[in-house]
Amino acid sequence: MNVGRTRPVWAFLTGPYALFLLVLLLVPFANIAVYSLHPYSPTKVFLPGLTFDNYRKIFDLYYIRLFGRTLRLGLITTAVCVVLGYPLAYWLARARPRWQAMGLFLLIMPLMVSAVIRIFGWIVILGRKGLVNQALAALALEPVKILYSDTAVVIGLVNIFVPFMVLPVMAAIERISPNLEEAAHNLGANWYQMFRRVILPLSLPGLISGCLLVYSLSISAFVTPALMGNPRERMVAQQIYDEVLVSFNWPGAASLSLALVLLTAALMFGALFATRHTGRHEKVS
Amino acid sequence: MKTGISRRQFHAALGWGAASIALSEFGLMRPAIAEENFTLASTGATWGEGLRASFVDAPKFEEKTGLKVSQEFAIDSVFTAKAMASCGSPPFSTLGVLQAEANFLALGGCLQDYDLDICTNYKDIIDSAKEPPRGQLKNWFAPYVLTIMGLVYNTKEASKPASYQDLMNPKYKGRVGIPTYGWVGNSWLQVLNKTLGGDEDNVDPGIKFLAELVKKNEAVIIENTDAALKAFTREEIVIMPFWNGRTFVLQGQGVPVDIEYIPGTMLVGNGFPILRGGKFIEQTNRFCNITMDGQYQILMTQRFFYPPSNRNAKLPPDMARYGFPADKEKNVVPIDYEKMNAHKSQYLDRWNKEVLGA
Amino acid sequence: MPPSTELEVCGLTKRYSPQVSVGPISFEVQEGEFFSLLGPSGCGKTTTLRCIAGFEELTEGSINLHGERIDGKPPHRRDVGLVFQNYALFPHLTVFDNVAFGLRLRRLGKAEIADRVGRVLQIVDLPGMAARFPAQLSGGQQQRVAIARSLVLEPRILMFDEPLSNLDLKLRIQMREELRNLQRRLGKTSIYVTHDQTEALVLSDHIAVLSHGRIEQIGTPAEIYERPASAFVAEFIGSSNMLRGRIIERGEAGTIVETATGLRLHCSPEREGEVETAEVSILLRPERIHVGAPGESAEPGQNRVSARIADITYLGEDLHLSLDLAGGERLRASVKNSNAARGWAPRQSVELLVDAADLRLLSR
Repeated sequence: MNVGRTRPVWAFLTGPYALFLLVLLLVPFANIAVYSLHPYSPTKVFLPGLTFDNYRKIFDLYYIRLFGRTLRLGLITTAVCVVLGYPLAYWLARARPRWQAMGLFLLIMPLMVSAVIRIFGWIVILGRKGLVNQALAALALEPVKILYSDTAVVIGLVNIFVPFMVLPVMAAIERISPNLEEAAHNLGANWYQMFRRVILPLSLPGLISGCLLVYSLSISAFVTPALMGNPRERMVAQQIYDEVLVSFNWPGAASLSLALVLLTAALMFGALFATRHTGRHEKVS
Repeated sequence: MKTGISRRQFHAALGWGAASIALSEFGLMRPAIAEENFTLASTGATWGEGLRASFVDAPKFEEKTGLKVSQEFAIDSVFTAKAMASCGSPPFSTLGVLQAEANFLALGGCLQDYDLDICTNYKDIIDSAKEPPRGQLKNWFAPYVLTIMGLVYNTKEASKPASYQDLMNPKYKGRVGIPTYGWVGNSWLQVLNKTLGGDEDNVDPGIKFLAELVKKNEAVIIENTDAALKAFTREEIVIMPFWNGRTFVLQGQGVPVDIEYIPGTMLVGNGFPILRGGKFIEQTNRFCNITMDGQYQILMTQRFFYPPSNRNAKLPPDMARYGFPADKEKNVVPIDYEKMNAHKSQYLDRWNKEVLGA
Repeated sequence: MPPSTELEVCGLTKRYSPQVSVGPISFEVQEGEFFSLLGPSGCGKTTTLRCIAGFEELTEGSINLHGERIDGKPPHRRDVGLVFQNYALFPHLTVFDNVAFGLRLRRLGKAEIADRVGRVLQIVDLPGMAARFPAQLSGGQQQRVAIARSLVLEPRILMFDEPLSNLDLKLRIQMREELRNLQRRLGKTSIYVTHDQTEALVLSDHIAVLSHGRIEQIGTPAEIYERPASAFVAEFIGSSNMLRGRIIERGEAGTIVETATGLRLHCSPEREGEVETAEVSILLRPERIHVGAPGESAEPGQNRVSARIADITYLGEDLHLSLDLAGGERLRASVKNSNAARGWAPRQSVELLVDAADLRLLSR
């Protein structure tokens, strides 16, 4: 009998994770959405009542700049990750298994170190009297102020997020047969032409995944900008942190969080929509 | 097919990667379950160890009460937020907090009074360190050590300051530190503001002063105690409002710094209030009484160089310099935390826009 | 006008490590010729091809294409087309764009590209497929696109790396025919790498048989089959019986060899210098054994050997017989399924007749 066929198998396969998402992501999110619509009180989590004040506050020049800065730093971080990560991903995808394993290990290693320890390492290197400036001094050059600047935040973020770029791109390039590269050369393409016409379009889905990952992670970063950035130039996550844990303004923090998530989601769906069109050829009739 | 994978990767990495990195770092990952053991919440590392050694092990608290004491470590504001979110059925027995956080909890109705029949040492705590009554609460907060914020300066690079105006000295341009709002900046803003003629309801003078300090003297915003210690050690800053105990730590490491209790000195008590609805109210009172006992407070002083809050505690001669000189008590500016907290969110906004944006 | 040498490979050597190397290999391919590199996997045939295409660098030797040395040039500057074993079609491009790939790199005009792509798709019999993606095509169609993609650039030579090995048997035979017709029609100089002897025999003008990185023999299909230069070639091309023996007499009329078990066989006189040793291998193709009833008489110049049928494999058109000789050797014979063969059964005694000319002696 075909009783089994009528059973929704997809529900069993996706069910556990869907439940996980529902309980641990969507429910808290809904909670946050509710918070964001309540009035703020300094002594309570929120007051009863309904208000849009928390959102109105965001359309202030300060918050618009804050979001602008955050998105800009995310964009720069993503761009640097592409520039540094793509060649690495290509090399790893084409390397012998032993080199690949070693390369992956080195790549993932920064993720195994606590964020705070890793950042203190950067402070030692980038600080006013850090290794970089000592080296510059030894060469009789002017010291540079890197630590506590946007540059330091980008360095710190790139350090952690490069693997999130490399892994999906590497996976995409691994699926491209080296024969395709040879075929392109055989048809008269030099390396650049081969890359632009074969590797790049075929690895584009991986590249877009990587960019989305790095971008979403960067714009929600908290620890790195807090410890390495200019304390006067903040990112949205730091503002949310201060709202919750310093002024206990939960509704204010909730509205900022939701705004950030909605913005991220909008960018993500935009990018996925764009990939869907480049992925057309994957469909087999 | 591709888009499905990237969406899944996105959920996995954003939802759980980022969230768990952030949460685990701030101790929010553990669920706030109701208290099961007698639980002390406090800052961790050496401070947490010191608390246990001084107030649990030294007085043999576990043997006398037959309770097992467990500790939960996080930063103050995190477990304050937790206590507030679970008001009336707290996830721990008591928590070590500064006055600002204690007042949040008091005004939120999450605390109850000490039982003075058990807390017999309460009467010996110096009065300027106790919190005044709040609503229903009368005797509800007494610190175990005096955490004092004076003006700390590098004795070689800077001269002994007389007031906060010294921060404006152009000689210190780029090497003046101020605490970030989220750390102690919000309280310190109040004492600074009061020396400049403002009060809790009007921080215009303080904000104006800080904006100018940031703009003209390129003041460095310091994120936390560790960052301040490093900045002083590396001489990245030469003057900054900072803690008494930490100054003595730096001195012990050979850093040429000293503290001056100028007008506008801030005295913040670090204490254990009693959470309403706790499971071990009687034992918590007994614990709190121990924290108010001079002989045990001195054990904390030995470790962290913050003087005891019990007026009967006598520091031995070699520790005398850690004490708070009686003639400087007049320089302490009290803060009305109730008023301060009412404006905290609004002042954060002003700080971000006017001070940081200066 | 005699055909000129199109490709000249001279002393090609590729050393991967002191233990693993290919070469030295030398051969010439004439204009318009279909030339096969035949050998088992690991014999160096694909390495040779990749050296010509420029994907591997030579350790020693030279490669000349139409009189011009090319072994120092990058792969994209060699006028050599290559059809890959797995076709290596670009999955993100349509058939049209795949075929136009090389033309676009040469910056040709839109109209000319459309014209040339259309014509070549006609040639490989794929009209109307231009808008499809490779994943929408069958294996045979993909194969044609791959050929068209190389062909459209009109390279000096066209090379095929085991192009039929991914197809099923029926399609393989059909494509083999098409490939042969196409090559004959276009007269394009071609190099074909395969491990399949039938493909090589059917398609080629000349075959180079490779083993362990060396060329064993170069010749026409008939030469390779009829006069294999070594035991390896003999065994690799077609099936064969191989007996060990030694020469006991050489004369005008022929050579007499004796096997280990004392069986004497007459062979036609070998060519000058072909067999240098007295110890030889005697090669006998299974289809050259005539199986007759006991007592059947031999004609002059024929060897007659008694045997007993050990086993019969029925193949329909042919029968394969396993035959035990009196001395203990076993021979395989392939005979037509004729009336005479109908009565045969295992353990039956038969008489084998073998022409002296069908016995071939190889040095050992």
